[in-house]
Amino acid sequence: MASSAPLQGLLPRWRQRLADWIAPGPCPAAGKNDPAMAGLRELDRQLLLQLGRAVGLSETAALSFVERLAGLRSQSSKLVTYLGHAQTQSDAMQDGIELNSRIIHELSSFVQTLPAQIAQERGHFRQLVGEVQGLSALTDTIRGIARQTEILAINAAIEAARAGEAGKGFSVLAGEVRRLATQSNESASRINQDISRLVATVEQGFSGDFAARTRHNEAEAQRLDRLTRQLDDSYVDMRQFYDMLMTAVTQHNTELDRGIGGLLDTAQYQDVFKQIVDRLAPAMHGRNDVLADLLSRLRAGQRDTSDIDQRAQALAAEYLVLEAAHRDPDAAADAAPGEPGQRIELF
Amino acid sequence: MAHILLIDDDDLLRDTVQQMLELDGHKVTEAASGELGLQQFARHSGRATSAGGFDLVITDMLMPGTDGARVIVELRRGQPDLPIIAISGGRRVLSAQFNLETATLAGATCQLAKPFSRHDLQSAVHKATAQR
Repeated sequence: MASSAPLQGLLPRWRQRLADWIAPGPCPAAGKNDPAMAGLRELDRQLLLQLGRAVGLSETAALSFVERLAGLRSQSSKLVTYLGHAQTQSDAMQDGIELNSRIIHELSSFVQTLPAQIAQERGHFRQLVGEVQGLSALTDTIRGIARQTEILAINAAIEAARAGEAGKGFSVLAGEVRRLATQSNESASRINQDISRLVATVEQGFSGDFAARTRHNEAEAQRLDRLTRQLDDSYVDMRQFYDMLMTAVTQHNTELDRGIGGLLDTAQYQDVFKQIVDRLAPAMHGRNDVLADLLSRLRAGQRDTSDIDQRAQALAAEYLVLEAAHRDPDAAADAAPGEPGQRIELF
Repeated sequence: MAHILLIDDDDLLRDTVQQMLELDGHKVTEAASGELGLQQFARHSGRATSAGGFDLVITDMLMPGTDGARVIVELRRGQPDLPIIAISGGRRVLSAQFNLETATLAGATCQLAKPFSRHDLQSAVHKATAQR
């Protein structure tokens, strides 16, 4: 990983400098194989070993930290990109819904004019019904005339039978028949006029305007139906969009949470490092005291330094006992993700 | 060859994809909804392929009820390394690209935009199963 490369070089260098600092013999005046130095060399070796382990642990933790951080950054970046696209989707859906809403608002104006239109059409039809009822009355009149004509015809037949004796009766009947004929003609004329009016009313009612209005109304009603269905579909889409968005983001958040948990686990190793160094400090102080004592004796010309080695060995043993009381940090470094508590020192 | 659970509410597409997969020698179990798919998976969960366990799941994203994102999350919860291919053709303004991005975020192994060829499907199946 590119971002962790500088650390990979830097940490070993630090470790080497640490080793160089602590590795030289404790006293140049003393011989390398001086028995008095054996205990101090052992103490130094143990201290260096633990410091090396601590630095190694810190290095592993730092690399792991950087790696996990890069992973989190990638996940976070993915989420930001996704949410940007989600915003675009949401805007597109919103635009569609707003357009439909505007058109539906326009259609609502059309719907508001419908009652007046319907009232007008109803007026036309009421007039039509009135005309038809008028025709019905005329039909009754004609039917009455026909009935009377029939009676007259019968009477005329009777009178005809007696034609020779009462010719006057025929003239009366003829007059009546003429009068009825006149009435029939008048009725026929009125019927003609009424039918003409009726036809005019019907023509007006079903004129081109009416047909156009009807077609327009039908088209607008269909558009309203279509837009309403589109709105319903948009609602279904919107609901599914948010459902999926929430599911995906929640899942992604769970992954991020897991990643952050891993990061926190790694951060705890820095405290393990500090604990190792803290335990090193008393041993280092003891080492310094032993060295100071050795130096003062050598400056005073004392050759007997056998107890110095014993003190150094005692310090090394004490340090080892103290270190053994703690769990092996390397084991903690190998801990599986998500299980830090089982193998890491708690403090 | 793999035992594949195919989840899609579109009967025609399901039949077509099933035939494509069977031509390549795979065994296919189909489900017409997210709910049925999860039920099928639960029924075979924990079994080896020879005993009816699934090697791969192919799921549509836009389905009524339990959608593809929910299916993926539920499957992942039970079997984190299960290969899952998400397929989607989009609907009205809900684009296929967005649906497939959602699938990725939810945990799909790879994605296929509808319509896809037999070769596309073969590649996706190979890629998904190879990552296991």
